[in-house]
Amino acid sequence: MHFPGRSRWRQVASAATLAVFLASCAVEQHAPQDTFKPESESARRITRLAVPVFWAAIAVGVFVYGLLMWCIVKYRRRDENHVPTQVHGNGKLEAAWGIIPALLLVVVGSFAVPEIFRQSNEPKDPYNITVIGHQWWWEYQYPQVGESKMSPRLETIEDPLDIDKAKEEGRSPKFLAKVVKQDKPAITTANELHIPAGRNVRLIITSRDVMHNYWVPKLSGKIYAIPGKLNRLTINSDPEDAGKTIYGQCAEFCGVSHANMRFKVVIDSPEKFDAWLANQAQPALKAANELAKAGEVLFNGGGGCTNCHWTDSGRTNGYEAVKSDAGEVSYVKNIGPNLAHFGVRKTFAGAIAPSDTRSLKAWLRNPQKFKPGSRMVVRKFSEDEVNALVAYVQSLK
Amino acid sequence: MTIVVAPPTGSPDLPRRRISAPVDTGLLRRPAETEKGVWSWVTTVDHKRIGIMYGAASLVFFMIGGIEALLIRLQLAQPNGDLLSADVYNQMFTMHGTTMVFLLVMPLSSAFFNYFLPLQLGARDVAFPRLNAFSWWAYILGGFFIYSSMFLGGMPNGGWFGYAPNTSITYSPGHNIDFWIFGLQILGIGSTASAVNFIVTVINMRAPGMNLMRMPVFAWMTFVSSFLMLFAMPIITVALFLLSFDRTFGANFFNAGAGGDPVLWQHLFWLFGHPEVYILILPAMGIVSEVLPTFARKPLFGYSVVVFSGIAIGFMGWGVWAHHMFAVGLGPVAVSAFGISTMFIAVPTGVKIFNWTATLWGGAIRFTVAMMFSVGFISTFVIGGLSGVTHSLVASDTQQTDTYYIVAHFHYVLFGGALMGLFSGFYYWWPKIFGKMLSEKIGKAHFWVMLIGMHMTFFPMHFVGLQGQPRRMYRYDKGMGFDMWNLIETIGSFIIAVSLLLFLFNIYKTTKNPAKAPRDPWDARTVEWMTESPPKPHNFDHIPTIHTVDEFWHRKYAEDENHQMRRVATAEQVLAADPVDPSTIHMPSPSFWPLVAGFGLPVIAYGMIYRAWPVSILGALTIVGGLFGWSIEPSAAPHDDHDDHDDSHGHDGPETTFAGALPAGS
Repeated sequence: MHFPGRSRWRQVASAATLAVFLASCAVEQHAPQDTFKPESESARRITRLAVPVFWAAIAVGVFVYGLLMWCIVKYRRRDENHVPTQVHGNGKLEAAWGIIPALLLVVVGSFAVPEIFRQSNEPKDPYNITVIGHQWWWEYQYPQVGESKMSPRLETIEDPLDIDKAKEEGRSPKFLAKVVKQDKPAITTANELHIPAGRNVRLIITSRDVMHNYWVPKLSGKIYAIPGKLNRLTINSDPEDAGKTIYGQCAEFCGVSHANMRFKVVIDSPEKFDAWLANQAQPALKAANELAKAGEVLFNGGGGCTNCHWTDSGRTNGYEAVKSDAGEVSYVKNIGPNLAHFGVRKTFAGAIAPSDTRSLKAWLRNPQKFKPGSRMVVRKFSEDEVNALVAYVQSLK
Repeated sequence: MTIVVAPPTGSPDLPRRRISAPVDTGLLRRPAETEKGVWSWVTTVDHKRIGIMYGAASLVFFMIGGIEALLIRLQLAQPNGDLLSADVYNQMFTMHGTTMVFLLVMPLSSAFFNYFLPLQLGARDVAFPRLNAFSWWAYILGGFFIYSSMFLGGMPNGGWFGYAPNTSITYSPGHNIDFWIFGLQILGIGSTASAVNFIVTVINMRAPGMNLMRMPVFAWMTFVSSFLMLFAMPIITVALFLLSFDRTFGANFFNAGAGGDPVLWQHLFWLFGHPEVYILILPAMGIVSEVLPTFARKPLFGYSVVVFSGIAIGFMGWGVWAHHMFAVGLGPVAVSAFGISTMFIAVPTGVKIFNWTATLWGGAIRFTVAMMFSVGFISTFVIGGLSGVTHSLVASDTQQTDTYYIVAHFHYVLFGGALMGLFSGFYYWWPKIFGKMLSEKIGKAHFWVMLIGMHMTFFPMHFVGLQGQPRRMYRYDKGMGFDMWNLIETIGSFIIAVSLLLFLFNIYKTTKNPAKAPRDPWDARTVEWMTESPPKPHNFDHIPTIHTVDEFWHRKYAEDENHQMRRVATAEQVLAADPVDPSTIHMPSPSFWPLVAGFGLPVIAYGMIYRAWPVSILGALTIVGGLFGWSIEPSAAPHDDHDDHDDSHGHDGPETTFAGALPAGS
């Protein structure tokens, strides 16, 4: 049968389909979170599992589309009075298209299920890092230099976030929160995760406030950061990836600035990693120049920065209820990222901006403009004060 | 089927009581049956009018949800878009999801349930007509209630999934979330009541001879999704109660610090949320199962298999909820189990697809707009179904979950699937509802523009999702590889908007056009076409006796001596029946009480939100008063003209009148 008009239409349609397909293949954009370009063994395993299933799905799709198209073209009503044979069904056929897909799925499942267990197994000799989600940044706690194990536990405290409200309402804070306590002192940093290349890193993940979701697409699948729960995720990298910086992003909606909760994973060679960690464990260098010194004074004094930020990596970023000798409880809120060795971090504020002078200045003038909903409250700093503060935090190497 | 039930309202002796004088039913005057204009709609208990109101209101909410979608797409058209602030963006995606699920697809399905379930069963109305009106009021008032937040401090902004503890009072101190909670509670009450109503209608009100396996597939899918609603709505109700107790009274159900568990919210929400997905898709599947046989001029291939697949989906739908939570850390055993169940729910779905295709095979297909939408439904639903199978691979789902890949998947299922099916229903049943044909020409343009727009909007989301674009972000950075696809998506979304304008224009033009539709424009097969278009208030002069699923068609066609199907009667001949004196058929009378009772719901909710307890109590009293007035009001107004043969024929209420519609023995 020949349909002149229709065949041209079909040519156009197939050309268009081909064009779309080629375009999608040809787009070699810079996509730093591409899950199909894995950089680690665990991410590669996921891709190896997914890709054949995608092709199978495409094959099934093409088959069904073919059937549909065949019916549409072949069985078009050409005679208004034609009444086709009234077929009510065919048990064997229907059993077949129930059973064959089920068998296909059994095959798929036999690959998919073992992978679940493989991914959740504790790897050999893992290096532990504790990861804590906050609105809207990540806190990392490393074991002491030379160690690799951490066993964090969750402890209940009265929530400092409730302090202001409690004061207003003339009561003691009653909202409770679970926070991480380590049995040994840990080394605290924020936003940039450094990992040793080629080693299995076992992240122990929780959240301080709401649900977050820790995701480094090129290294691994996601895992939720859940208040009151310690989740575990293995990420690793190839030895030859040393020196690379990988993009990460919180994937679960976690409030107004969810989109601004990004992070970077820096893969260091083992030597470089050790050097980095050793430096993190040290107190920061003393402010080198006058400007930075002025900044230090402001930071620790009238600037009000220490209400929320430590500059000592030995203090785990947390919320401390401090009891005075008289037995009165006061709170150190300390709800901001630990700024120890801030000067070596490439980005800040949830990795949404490079930590250069210009961005830092802009941030200090109006944090909420960068990051809506940010809890950072700043008084109006003068130009000199801003310069001094920026010089100080940049000097924290 | 011989289920014996008491008359649906009141004690068994109540409907038989003789009512001789006009009854004063309390505060409100009884609306007259001859009422015209707005009041006739406000007080109606006619399932057809209620269906029309559901349809119209859901189209309005469709426009609102669509505008929200366009704003979302405009914001994301380019990197670091700044059309909307972060908070407004969050309100937009929250309300887009909430609107499309609860205020569009569910009520639009309900519109078709309402209008066509009684007609397809050969009944005069649903089992509980006033309860039906109450459901409608709960829906529309619940919708207004949620949107009133726009003027009262901001719309809900915690996502349609409302994950705790982000929705707790600590992290969402405004009233936004409260409006969401109480709005969904109100809508849930309406949906639960509807579910009961439809289930009872199916069980009790089928025409003589219509056993369950002679019921049209759309009625079957209504039945199945009503059961899903009946059991799913209480779960979300419980979850929302827990959340509102957390927020309003300082309970700690989801506060980990105080020993609560935020993961519990996820379990409860998805235990509701996944059956909800099937509540959204099964009605569309039912419509498609009506449209395909009609226009292929063949019976549905494997009717019983299609029906049982629907039931299987309904059952299995309860065992897959944790596939929304594969990254939560439930442990390998749990996620394996849910991964496997998710894989196998594809089987009954696949069976349906093949059965539909086989219905087309060997048919004599006529491509009307309704048919195009139904075939469009199959073709897009296949894509959504296949991407759904890829989610069941738990390990790879941890890469996909919370990305645009998921957004692509469920828009293929719910927009390409559910909505295409519902549009098919619009074009198919419009002449039945309004007695006029929607323009096929504009309809075809509507279909093609929508199909192109849909693929353009949602197909690239597969790519950006796998390239690592997470959902629910009000902006993305440059250099992530998302730019081009997002721009294409935005253009696509405006093409969809154009297609919807074409649809509205089609409605407008059809309304202006005086031409009447023929009685049987599609050579249809099922019972709802065996009456006038639009049907009279009592639907059928004579309740037909049913011998087969395709009752109407088999009255028009019969086998000749060569076993060839031949037309033996025209639709007019089939429909021509002995005239019936309409005064012998008595329908339930209009009533104010469902509105009164429904009105109390948002009043309670406003009181709860603003802690104005007296207002809540007033609302509760309104409901109690409404229900009281409702229960002492006879369901049918007394008629002077049938007083004398009242007892012998039992014409006091719709329940007795409906007895004529009940299958023998029920």
